[in-house]
Amino acid sequence: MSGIQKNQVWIGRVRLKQYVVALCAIALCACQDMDAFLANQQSLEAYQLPGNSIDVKRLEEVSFKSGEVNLYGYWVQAKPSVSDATTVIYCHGNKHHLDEYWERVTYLEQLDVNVLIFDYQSFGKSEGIFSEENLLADAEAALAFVQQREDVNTDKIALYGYSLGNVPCIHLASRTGFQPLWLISEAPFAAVDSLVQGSLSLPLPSGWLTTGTFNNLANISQINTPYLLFHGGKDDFVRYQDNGQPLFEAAPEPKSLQLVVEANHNDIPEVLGVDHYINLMREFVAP
Amino acid sequence: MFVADLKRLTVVALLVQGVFGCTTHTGVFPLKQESTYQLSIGGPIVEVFDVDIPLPYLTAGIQKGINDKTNVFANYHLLAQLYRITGMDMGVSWFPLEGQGWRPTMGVSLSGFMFFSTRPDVDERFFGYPVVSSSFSWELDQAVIAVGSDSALLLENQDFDPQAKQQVHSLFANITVPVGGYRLTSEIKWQGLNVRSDQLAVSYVPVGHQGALGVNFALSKAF
Repeated sequence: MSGIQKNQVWIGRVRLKQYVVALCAIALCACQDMDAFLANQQSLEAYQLPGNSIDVKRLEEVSFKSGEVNLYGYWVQAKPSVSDATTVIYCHGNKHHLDEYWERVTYLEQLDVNVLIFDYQSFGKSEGIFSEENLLADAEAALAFVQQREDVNTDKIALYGYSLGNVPCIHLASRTGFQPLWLISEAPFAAVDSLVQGSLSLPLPSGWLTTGTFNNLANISQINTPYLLFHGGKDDFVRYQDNGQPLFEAAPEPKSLQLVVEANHNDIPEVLGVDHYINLMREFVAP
Repeated sequence: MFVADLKRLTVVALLVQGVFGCTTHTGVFPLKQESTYQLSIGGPIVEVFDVDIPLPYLTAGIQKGINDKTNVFANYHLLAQLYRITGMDMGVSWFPLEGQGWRPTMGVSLSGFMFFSTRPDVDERFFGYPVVSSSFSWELDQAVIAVGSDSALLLENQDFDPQAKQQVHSLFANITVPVGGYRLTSEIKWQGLNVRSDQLAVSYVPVGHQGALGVNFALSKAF
């Protein structure tokens, strides 16, 4: 057998193996709700904060309780020159722990704010089990943690949600007894059913494939804070027309929309230009 | 990375569960007084772990010719059962024009797809919709070649997308050949050709930006 033939056989075996893995994945998917796929279930020893550009003296790894379990995250202190800084609770997206979402911390920090980013239950170093109920409880715990810090002005707490992170953010902003200073949403889905129905082109009833509803649209009208929405016009995962658009339309005033026509789900800052992205947020938070 | 991982892992599950309309079109000619049973597998091609693979949507069904121009059929959706969804489709095919030479046998079918969720805490347990199909088939020696279309007529609007289509159209082409005592039908299908599919949570193989290419196979036997 020639070298080329051996190579072709090897490639064939690899492809066959990939097909088997793919078939197994499909079969395994059959045994789970979609909810499980929103979670990050890889255990983690330590955070790496890849690409960090923030002075490490202003970083603090923090831990707090959500019910009986420990959550882990990072506290970023505003620059020493900033007095009475706003504190932003940053709720990140799905599937990955906070290391994967650290880049946006470095953007938010440039607004001269404190930032708390944390991992939900089962994400990163955080303990526990992922569920919609626990996700919302984790956001409540993060808010309580921030409110208890002596270096936080509790009248100046704001929210930033990215993708899945909009579920806890909109939940916090819509609950009574807490009024965030502002809420910025990036690439939110309207509800998990919007993803299901859009993908299938079928009006499948709610709850057939998921346990949680993750229904931002049901809560958005209850928020009582200025709202800024970023959404990519070419978002090929959370399509604007059946996610960002109904959310924005249902949100009360004051509200502002940045529909970035050429952006996908995760590249809005890059498509806008990071400086412009930060400036848009800066104009919104300090008009 | 975020989107890629999600597309590979996340909502493939949805699709497998949701490709309810995937059954190979074996009823493209009148069975007359014959009855057949069949096993069908296939569905839209989606990307999983960098591999484009047709979804293994599995159905088992029977067909019976009740006269020279009419078949009735029913299929039970086996894979849906894994997701606590009991699914079946049943319908009738009518062949007003019999083939002769290059003139095809023409058929039209009306079927109902019905699904029932047995999951706890589900508000709506039933989901269904009618499908109207047409087919044109030619007999070539022992093989049968067919082309046709499906139109799923959705009875409700989607909850979030005011632009969503209420009629979802598909085209198919297949060939049926005898294999031992069985008939093997191999089919290629362009599903949802009037639905834009490049901004969805699932990575299909679209034509242009529309619909999803799929592959189906069925093994049927007369009894």
